[in-house]
Amino acid sequence: MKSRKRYTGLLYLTPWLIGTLVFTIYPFVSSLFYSFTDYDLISKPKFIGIANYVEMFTSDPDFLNSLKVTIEYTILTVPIQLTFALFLAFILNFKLKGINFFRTAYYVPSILGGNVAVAILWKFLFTKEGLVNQMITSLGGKQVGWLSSPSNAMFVLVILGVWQFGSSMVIFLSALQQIPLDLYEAAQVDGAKKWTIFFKITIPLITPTIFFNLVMQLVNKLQEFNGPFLITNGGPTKSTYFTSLIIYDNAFKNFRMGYASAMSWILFTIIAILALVIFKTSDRWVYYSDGGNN
Amino acid sequence: MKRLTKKLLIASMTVLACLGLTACSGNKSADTKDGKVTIRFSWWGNDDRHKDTLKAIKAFEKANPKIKVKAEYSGWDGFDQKMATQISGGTEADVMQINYDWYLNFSPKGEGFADLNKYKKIIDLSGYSDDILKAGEINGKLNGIPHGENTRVIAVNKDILNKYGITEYPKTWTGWEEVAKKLPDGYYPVEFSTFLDIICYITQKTGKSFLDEEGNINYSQSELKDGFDWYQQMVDSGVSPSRKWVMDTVGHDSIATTKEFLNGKLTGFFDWTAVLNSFSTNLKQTGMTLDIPPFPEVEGAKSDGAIKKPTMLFSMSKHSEHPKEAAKFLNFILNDPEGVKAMGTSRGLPVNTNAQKILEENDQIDDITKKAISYSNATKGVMESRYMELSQIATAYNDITDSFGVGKINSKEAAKQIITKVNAAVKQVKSKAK
Repeated sequence: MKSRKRYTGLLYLTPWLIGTLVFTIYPFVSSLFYSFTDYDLISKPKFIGIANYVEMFTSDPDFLNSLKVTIEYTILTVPIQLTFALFLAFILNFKLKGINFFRTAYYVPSILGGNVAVAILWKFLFTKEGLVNQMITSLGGKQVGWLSSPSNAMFVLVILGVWQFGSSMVIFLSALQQIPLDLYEAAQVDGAKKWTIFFKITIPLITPTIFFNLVMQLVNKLQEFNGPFLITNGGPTKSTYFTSLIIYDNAFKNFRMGYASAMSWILFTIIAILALVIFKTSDRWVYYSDGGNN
Repeated sequence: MKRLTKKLLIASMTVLACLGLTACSGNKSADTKDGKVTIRFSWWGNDDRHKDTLKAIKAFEKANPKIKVKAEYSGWDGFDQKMATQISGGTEADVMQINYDWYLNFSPKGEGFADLNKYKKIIDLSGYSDDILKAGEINGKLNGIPHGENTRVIAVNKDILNKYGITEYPKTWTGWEEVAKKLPDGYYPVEFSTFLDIICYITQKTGKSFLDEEGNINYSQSELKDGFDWYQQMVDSGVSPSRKWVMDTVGHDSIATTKEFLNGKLTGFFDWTAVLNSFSTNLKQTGMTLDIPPFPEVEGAKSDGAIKKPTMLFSMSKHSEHPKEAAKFLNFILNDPEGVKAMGTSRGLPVNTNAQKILEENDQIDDITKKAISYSNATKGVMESRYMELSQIATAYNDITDSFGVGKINSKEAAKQIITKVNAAVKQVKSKAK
């Protein structure tokens, strides 16, 4: 009976298992193979060793630039987004009337956030006579060229990224709710100020959540695609030409699947190293109240 | 890797979907028991085109009850990716609508498609001039039959110009500078900011196309620099808005749907004749009309400067099991009165003079298309190389034009970069053909 039960379990798992094998594991492994080939989707892949990797670092300034702007974007977006998410979670943790409504309202953007429609809406907000410029001019300011200057275009994408704070916020919120109330009471009895309580009790107790959100958002933002693809198309002058965009262009516009595969492996390596660094340093700043895994 | 795997997932799903297609509709099961033969026809386009093409297929099936045509169609987005997967798997349709530059990727040596010269007995090519057919020829093999001819054109909002007292169109670029002065602030007579438009000017001056058939650059660095300087002058004198203005207002959308075009602030634009229809239709809704002025010239012009290219071509698969039936179908949509009438002008006007006659007699050609024809016929152009709009090459010159447009580099640097980067891109593309 017991072994039969095990098979039933596996049977239930098969749809997922097949999906993962065919759509995740197989493309993952085969892209590693293709990264060492010259492959145009039509003729047979030709093995060329590490030539793709050499090319992207020696004679493709666009790729190096794409890494630079992607990292710039990530460094700008992730901290602001996490601070913002924590701030809102903190407020939404107050026991107020109708707070559930606000919790939902603030979560909605992240459901829509990665959506194509929102990116297109974003573009309309920031065109020359878009809503943002209309607001600025009605307040007596001058029209701003949001999409024609490199720093402004990056700014538009960064705030779109920040605006998708919902999922981090919900996770922060649940972490805040798990902090035992007696700790706060004890601190209050001892006469601690509100700020002190926040930095000495709240923050240390949610470090595991900060750690989790940091890794998730970092992985996410380094692969940002929708925003630059739909809003700026990598421009102006490649200032928002992110790595995922150059990978897409090479794979599907230039028919250089091998080169694109090699690029995605570099991106993957960078993400893996960053995640590893955060994991390694986490011992020093992440506090597990139950003793963690040590 | 969520997004990347998602993309890979889409790619693998497309492959699976294609495998699925062959499994149920593929070559083996194509012949049904009653002796019927099934061929496939694939194209991209908008709804008008889909409707007209489906009508033509029905007419063909009625006239040839033994042949069934299976339609495979969608919008433009992602169509080339679909083609790439089909051609790489050898599962492409028997008859295909093909974009000019695809041959470089799909048939670099002319062997990627069926040689249509072999079907001359079935397909009537008498309506095509040799010059036009040359655009579909690779290494002497007729890979595709061009459907239409696309000419670079300037079109303007007639009502706005009339309103500000411009009743006669200038014949020179300096004349357009005068027009710009007569229009109120914030109005621009002709929007242009792409490299293709700069090319038009240099073509006028030199009489040569930018790239030759082998992808070599025909212009010298100083000729290119002169082109960028001229563009800057057009911006400074208010003929065209600046590149920055265009980025903020239009982005990478079509001007046809921007507010500035519909309210007349962008009075005119530089584009291909094949897209005039959508501009004209949109403008009609605001009660204004689109018109085609003569193509402005520089002094001492060696050519009219209007660059030309085929709009799209029809090719046949070399894997087709029923090439004769496919050729018969192709002839039907290109030459047969019933087929031509059904196809209409949803692909622009055909270059096939026989088809033109049929459409004219049937009164199927609208106003702006008529204007475009007489413009194209009156304007001597230079046929652009197949390399011109290939993605890698277009990316190279567009990036440089953008950098120049926002003032990041000067005209001398832009000209220098065009030569080095376009050459590098051509070399990269060519390395594949070997």
